Amino acid sequence: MDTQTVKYLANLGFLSFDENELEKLAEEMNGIIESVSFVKDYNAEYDPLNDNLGAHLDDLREDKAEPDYPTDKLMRNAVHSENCFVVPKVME
Amino acid sequence: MDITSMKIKDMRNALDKREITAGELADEYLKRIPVSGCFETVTEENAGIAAKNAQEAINSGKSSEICGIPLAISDNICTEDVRTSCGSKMLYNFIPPYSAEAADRLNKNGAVILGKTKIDEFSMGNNTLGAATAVKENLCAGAICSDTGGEIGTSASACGIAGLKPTYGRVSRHGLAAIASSMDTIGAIAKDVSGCASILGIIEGYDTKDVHTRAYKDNRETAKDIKTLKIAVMQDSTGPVAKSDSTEVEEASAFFSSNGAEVSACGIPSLKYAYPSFYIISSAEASTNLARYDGIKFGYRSEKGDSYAELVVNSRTEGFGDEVKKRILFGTFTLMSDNIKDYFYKAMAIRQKIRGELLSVFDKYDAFIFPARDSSYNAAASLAGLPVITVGGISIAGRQMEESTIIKAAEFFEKGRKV
Repeated sequence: MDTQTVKYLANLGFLSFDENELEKLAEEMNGIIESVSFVKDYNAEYDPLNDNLGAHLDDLREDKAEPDYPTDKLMRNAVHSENCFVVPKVME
Repeated sequence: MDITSMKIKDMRNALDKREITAGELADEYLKRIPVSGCFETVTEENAGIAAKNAQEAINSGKSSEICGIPLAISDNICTEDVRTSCGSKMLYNFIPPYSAEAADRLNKNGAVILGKTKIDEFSMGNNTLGAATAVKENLCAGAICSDTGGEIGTSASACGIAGLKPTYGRVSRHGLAAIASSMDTIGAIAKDVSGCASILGIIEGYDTKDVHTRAYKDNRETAKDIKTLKIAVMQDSTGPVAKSDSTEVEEASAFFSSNGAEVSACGIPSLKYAYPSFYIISSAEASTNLARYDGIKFGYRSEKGDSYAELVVNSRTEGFGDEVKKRILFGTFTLMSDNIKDYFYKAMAIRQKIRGELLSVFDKYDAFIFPARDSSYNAAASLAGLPVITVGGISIAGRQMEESTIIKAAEFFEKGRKV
């Protein structure tokens, strides 16, 4: 993996790195990939229909509105809030 | 005898016999907890109120087996109005508006919560060592903490105490900071097996907020007796296993065998693929689960960023530590369209294969044992969602939802090996 690929992955993950960090990460990523890449040779195919059998969708609660968490408790964790979550201007 | 060194069951007896009150017991622990160390947050005031309520319940004669017992909760399990940082700058100021279902059940059953124990950032290293050390050092009688790839067993073994990772779906994950959602569980750590079982008895069960939970009670009284138990001793470990751990497995095998259990060597063909597959799946799931941290609604927000996108990138770059960023990058890599077939889907295929191989083991055996710090078997058990109990350096895994079998075997081993 080269630094350009790391930069691309960082972009997808909403992260940013300087050039030195990118080089170090490329080296580390190559190490990780090398240590796990032998799984590619395993002779089996994933069967999505045979997965998540443990989810019990028949037991869902009744589809009825229930009281939600208090707004003030939810808002107190936002750094900038004025009865709404404040973000930089998105549109001119 | 120092009461803080007692086991949960003995402590509960002391409370019932009025040899000590819940308030006095909580104070004994609180004065021992240092300013820094295993605890991220100490909830002294809440503990005082909980102890008072617990004492009233004990006095009334209607109380649970953990009522009045001072416990801790690891810092990636949400606790209403008590900071839950996940060991990260990203959540340094996060005060949850609700409690995790498991924490809520402890509170409702009279446990006295002393505080939150430290974890590595977003459980990217060992998420239970703070809790295990706190139990070992008599800073709490037990704790609940998360387990994704065998951390409870590894920490319990390192600290010489007991740990129980339940079947995936036995305990609700509601309110647990999600990392690898298909393997995350909440389990228990205590001085002995019985303590872990007491905590599990409170936190387990169906929860409408987690579709994987099931209403299922198994009975330790009717669980298989040691003399009729068939135990597999797993071989061919591929992970780094300490010599002492292998010796403990050998000693445990001899112990079970001499007590009438049918013990024989076993293995699974795909073992060497277990840890790499675990790493791929857990990184992929972590990369998507961690996408929710953007600094807008909660958590750390950067001072820099003229646009929405810049603000999110800066918040995440400044808020996450190196290991977390690395896992996000690798997880994203495994999910890219060019790679998903070779890495993520292949790991998922291996997971299905390993699950099948372990099911075959249970066709012949009731449980299998392996060195507690063996990363390969810990990964295999997590991939298959099996319950694992750890005591005396060994881990015993059982069939899904059959915790009673492994708890009974572990209790027998725990008592017998001390004779």
